[in-house]
Amino acid sequence: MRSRRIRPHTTPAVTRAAAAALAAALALTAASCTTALERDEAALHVVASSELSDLEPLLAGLSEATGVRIDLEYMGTLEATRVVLEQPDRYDAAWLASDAYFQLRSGDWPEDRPLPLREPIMSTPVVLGLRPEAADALRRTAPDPDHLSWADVADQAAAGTLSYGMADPARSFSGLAAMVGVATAAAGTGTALRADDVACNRLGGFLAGRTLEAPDSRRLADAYRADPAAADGLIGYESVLLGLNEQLAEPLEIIQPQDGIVMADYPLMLLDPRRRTAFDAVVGHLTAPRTQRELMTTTLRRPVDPEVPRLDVLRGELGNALYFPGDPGVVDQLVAAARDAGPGTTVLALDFSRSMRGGRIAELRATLGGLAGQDRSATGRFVRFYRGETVVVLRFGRGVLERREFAVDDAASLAGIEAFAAADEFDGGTAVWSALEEAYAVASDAVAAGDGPVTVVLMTDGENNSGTTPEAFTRRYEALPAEVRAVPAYTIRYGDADPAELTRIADLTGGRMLDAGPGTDDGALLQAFQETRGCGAG
Amino acid sequence: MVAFTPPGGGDAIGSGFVAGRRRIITCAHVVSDALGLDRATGATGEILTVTFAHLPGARAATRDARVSHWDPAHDLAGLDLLPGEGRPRGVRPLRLGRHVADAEVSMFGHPPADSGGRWVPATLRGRVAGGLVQVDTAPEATLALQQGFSGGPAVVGGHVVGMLVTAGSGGRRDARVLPYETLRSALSRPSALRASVRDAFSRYLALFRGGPGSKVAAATIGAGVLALTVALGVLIGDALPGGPSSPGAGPTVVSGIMASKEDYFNDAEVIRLLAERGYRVDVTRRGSFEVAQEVIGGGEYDFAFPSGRPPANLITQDRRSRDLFVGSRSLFTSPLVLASFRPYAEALVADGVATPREGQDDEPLYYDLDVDKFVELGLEGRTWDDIGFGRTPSGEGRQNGNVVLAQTTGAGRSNSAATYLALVAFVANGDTAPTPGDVAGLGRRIRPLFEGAGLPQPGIRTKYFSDEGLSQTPVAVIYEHQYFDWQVGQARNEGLDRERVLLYPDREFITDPELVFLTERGKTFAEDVLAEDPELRHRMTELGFRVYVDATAGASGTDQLYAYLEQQGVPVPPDPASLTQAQFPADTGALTELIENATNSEVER
Repeated sequence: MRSRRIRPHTTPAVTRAAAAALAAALALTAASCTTALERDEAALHVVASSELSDLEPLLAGLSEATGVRIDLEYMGTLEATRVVLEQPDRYDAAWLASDAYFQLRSGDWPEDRPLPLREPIMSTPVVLGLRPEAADALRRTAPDPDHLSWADVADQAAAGTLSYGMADPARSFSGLAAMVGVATAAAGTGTALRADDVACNRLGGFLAGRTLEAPDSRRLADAYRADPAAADGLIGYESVLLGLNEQLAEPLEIIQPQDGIVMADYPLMLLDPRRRTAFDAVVGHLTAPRTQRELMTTTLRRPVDPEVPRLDVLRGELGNALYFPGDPGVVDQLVAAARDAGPGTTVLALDFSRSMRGGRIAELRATLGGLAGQDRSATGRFVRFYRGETVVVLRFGRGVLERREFAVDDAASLAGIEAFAAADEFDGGTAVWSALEEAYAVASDAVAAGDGPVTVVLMTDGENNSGTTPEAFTRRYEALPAEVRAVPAYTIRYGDADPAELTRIADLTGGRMLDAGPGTDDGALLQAFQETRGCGAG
Repeated sequence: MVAFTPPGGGDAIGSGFVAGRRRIITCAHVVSDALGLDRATGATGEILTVTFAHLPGARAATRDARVSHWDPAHDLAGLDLLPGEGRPRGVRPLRLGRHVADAEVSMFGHPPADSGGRWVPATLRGRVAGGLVQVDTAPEATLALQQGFSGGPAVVGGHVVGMLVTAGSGGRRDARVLPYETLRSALSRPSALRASVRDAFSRYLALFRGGPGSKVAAATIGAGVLALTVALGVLIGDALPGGPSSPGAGPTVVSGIMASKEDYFNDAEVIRLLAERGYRVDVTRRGSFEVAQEVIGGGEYDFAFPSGRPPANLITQDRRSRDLFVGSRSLFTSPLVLASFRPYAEALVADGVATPREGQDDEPLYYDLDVDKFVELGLEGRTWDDIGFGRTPSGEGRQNGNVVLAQTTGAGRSNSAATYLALVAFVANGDTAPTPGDVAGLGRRIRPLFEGAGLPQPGIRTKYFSDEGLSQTPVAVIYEHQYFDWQVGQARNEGLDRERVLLYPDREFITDPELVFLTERGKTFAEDVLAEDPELRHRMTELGFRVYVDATAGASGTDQLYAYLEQQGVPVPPDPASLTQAQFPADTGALTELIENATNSEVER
């Protein structure tokens, strides 16, 4: 214990204040001194990420070497972070896969306390582990089989040909890291995600492949071991997957997605500054070369000490680390996206008036093909129609010509959507508002069914010249239940459509007008449709 | 004895002398002139940084003092060394005394172009108007009592019997001194301290937690510190005793809180050397601004060693405002660098953003980075793939779709990150130090660089030097010594690391770290052990630092470092092609606002 230096002060006022402060300080020091003594004999009470249970064999040695008994209580990393922020006094220390979430939330840490000291102990990347045949299948469909990416995973998950297990992103860092990795890749900006990048959920396709869930990575591994048929593989920590492989009849092939690696660095964090001595002893022991080697061989995590030679299985290059978002709102949005990602419903109202004939309809058909999975760009593979999604397509002219509902579950249903648009039946008029009314009727049913988010997309190349009037639609729209009104209508301007009319619809419904009209680039129509993906509500 | 110079430097405008435990006495007009204030303006509470030149062993020392006695009617001022600013070693106060009629005295002052000061023989005559005493220079005097003598003492028999207030016009009989009776009043207790600025600091520091999006209050730091020089004329007394505890007792435990400088104190060899000398250092590691926050918040340490000036200034200013012990010592420094890997450096070279320094082999380790162009890449959102990452010889076949950005430990926490941010701002501002009026717009303009890199990386140095460095941190903002330390270790074991390379910004900051001591123990440790012990100093060089050396003492810290690197088989960085000195925003408040705007913190006003 250090003594407080007493210095003379110069004025009575200062002296009085200082004396009071000093008395308080002495009282405080005395109190903490006793507590510290009592507590030092107690174990170091540590909340730890669930997968750290693999350290159990090393704890006895730790306690022997340091004289500190360490008592781990396991929890999902994000769950643990929340508990620590809400009850800063509950644990002496925390040992989490990552403190990224703590850093994001550090505004919730008591203001009068310094942020916890942290010492990274070991690291492991969040990767994908697939059964060999699933890995081969993924490589066959990937544009660059030597550099597999999250876009490849999203594409095959959407197509229904790849399934995986993932820990709950709301509770586990491995789940959150996967969501951040996939969302960063989907945004394709090459920077940390911003709020705008996640305003629409582009992860519907990726999440369609999630067939196995668990609260944390340890239980995820347990669930897979119990039933390997439940998924083609797992997304999780490399260390956990390597450990799991030792117990699997058919080990998983570890794939490090090229476009967004997140590393867990297992910082030990000191929550109660009074336990500093014990903390230092434990950190000193854990970072000593000998312990680092032991940690590596026992838990298959990568040592933090670069001088410790790596096991062969931990060598080899990793993909590029992504820039982890620094905005807590973004992370919340991603967690919500994972939670709410019921299969959505998309209502496409497509103009089949005569002016669409020729080049225009050809482009529209190509666009639908792109959405059905033929666009092999990274964006295209993220935002394609996905397994479980309901796509309702209606063609309109002077009125609604035809309406069909497709449940996307395989290649055949995707072909059905394209075939529907292949019909060469065009009509003389353009009933924009009637089509919109019909689209909202479909949306009402979908909202009532309560499945997932609902989006209305209306594409036209002309001005309204028949059917329902704007005023009549507005009247009926206003009468809809709030949750149906929450469904946004995205309008796509094509050819000679009237931007003012389409903006009016977008403004009324909370959607947006997207311009694929004259003067826009090639591919603007597909891009416009792609921009509406995942932007639904209800 | 002390000399006062104008704010911008130049010939002395006056002198002064140490007359009490921590009291310096001089003329009021000398203080006004030194502060650049109108002579009619009150100067009570102003803080001056003073330099004592010509200490034993040709040392110089700076101390800060506050104007605590202000008596313009008598042209008399008293300054107190700030708490924690002890007198330099070997300096003892002069005593005051009465003079007898026609006393032959020695007058001390600083004639033009003479920073050391001179003695002039003179005689004190009778009283004249205004309670002053006439002083005539002796016939043998070669110097007149001119401007630089204002505030200088008249000494007889080791006692100060007067102080020169009017230098005169060059004649021998028109100079005047203030006699003992009046001088004495300037030895009274200092007046009450000015209102504490602590509140402002705590609000400033609130910025450094909570991360982006948290609400913080903006505060402008007051208490400008002005420079003026105090040169000591006469030294009395011996060196003060100091050093470790007597043999037999346990080691003296010195507690320190620091950032990157833990690399020194946690070094096994340093620990061993200190143990031999009876010391052990308890190290707490934090970001430099967290260091300041913790010390200001009441954390008890013997010293704090943030990695740069702004956090060190926060600590000293706060402690001075609260009359707490504080002082500082420069030991070593190391410039800020952008550490990278060969394939990334080659991509930057191919894009004309970096240039290998001349005179290296075909695997250069040192590059000059055009900060302007580098920043432009980030602001335009260009990725490594965009600049041909996969087409360079060492990057062949690689991909990286991330935007070209440097990663830091977080501008709100660490000095390196705040310094890098200030560097970017300096460049984006057209190589001009941002003024308070610039910082809001400028901060917003460079924000994409920091937003884009996302969550700060507290352990960036560990990440960069890990086996996964290439994938984790293509460009990391670190200190040069960390790189040299790594390379010396590599050269000794596996052989020189040819993959990790340094990008030196072509605009450079002097990082100027200071050890800020907070207790007597910390002070002794810093001044008598770290700063003096040859082996401890040599170890600073061995760990890659550039040691501060007295200009007259031979090889510079950089020369010593380079000689060591050469001996260890680590190539020495050739001189840069050109270098611009970058400047921090004019005051800490502006730096704060810059950080806020560049990192998107909300500001509550």
